[in-house]
Amino acid sequence: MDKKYILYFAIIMQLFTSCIFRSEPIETLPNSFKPVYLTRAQLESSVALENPKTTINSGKIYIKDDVMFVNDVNKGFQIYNYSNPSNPIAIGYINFPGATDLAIRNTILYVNQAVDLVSVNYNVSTNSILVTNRIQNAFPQKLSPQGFNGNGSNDQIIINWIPNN
Amino acid sequence: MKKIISLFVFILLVTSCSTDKANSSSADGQGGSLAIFALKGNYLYAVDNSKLIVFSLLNPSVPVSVNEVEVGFNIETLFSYDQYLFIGSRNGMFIYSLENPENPVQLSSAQHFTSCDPVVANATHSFVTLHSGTFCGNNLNVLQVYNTTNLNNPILIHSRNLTYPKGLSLYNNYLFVCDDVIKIFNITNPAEPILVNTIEKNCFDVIIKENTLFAIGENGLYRYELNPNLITDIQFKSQVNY
Repeated sequence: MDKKYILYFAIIMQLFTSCIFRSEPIETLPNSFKPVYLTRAQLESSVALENPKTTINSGKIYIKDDVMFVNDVNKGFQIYNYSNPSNPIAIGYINFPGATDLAIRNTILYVNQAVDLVSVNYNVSTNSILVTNRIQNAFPQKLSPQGFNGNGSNDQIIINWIPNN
Repeated sequence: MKKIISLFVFILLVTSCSTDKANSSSADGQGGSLAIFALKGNYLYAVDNSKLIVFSLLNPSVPVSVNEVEVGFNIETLFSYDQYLFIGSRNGMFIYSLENPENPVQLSSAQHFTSCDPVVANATHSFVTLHSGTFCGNNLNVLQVYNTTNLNNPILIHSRNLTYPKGLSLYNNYLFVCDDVIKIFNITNPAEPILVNTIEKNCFDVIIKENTLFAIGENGLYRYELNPNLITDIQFKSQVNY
């Protein structure tokens, strides 16, 4: 009887272990990325409309009417005017360190800026922005691409992970 | 007279419905299949690694966090269809009902081997791509089709190997999949998708808005015009290079 239990236990442990190894990083794997931090004050003062960039590290895309937002991964959003389908024009760049995605209703952009949910009113005609709200710590700190935790805190916010070397 | 009043009421209902629909569709923008946000009614839904978070947009300028629902591990994408949310994780697809919008309830899940995956859905079926990545787990590159007519019980009806499938989008009876190229499948019979056309671009996500296709890749953003009557007729419009 006892032997049977031990066998079951061993099988369950084996299943558990293999599952963990499939879905979580293997503990012995070297951590090949390091976190990039901003203080909360830096994070909250970072959102600004700037001139378009010549090149970006393209991420998610979002279209609202004729305006396209392309995420520059963990850095911001390039904005294009697509009113002429054959000739998109870059009209601006919103500096948004830590952001990877957004959703838009009417003129309000909802952005995941690292741990915060930030609401921004974007006025297309004047090409200007206004931060209307910020929910602090709505999201957990960013994990590394390998799934590791960084040493984030309320005043040490992980906005990116970069290769160690 | 009664008939006329009924007819009038009916027309009023129909008109108000269609007006609502027009308003909501023009108010909200559109993201790709890799999105972590979904707008629905007066709510913004978002996923993080493990949770589904509900924000009230009663005052759209000042969202309020109203609920958090534990979903699982390695959550990656969020897709809404009708009153349902489809959540893609590295371990499977989860379906939530928004019958009570502030309190999403899990209806079902379909588990699979560890892999990165977005999901899109229509009234009867859900389409999932699983792709292996450096840190995404198993060496799987698959398109899966689930019959989700009964959302409480997704049934896998098709699975095929692709090269490196990522973002995907539905367009009438067609499914666009970002693979080594953009692959277009006829899904009139969802159990047997048939490749009918390709676009020679390496991309990771697509948005199809009416008949306009936007595709995003590491090297650029491409715009095409689709012809709803002839899937082989795809007009290139423009591109932005990165």
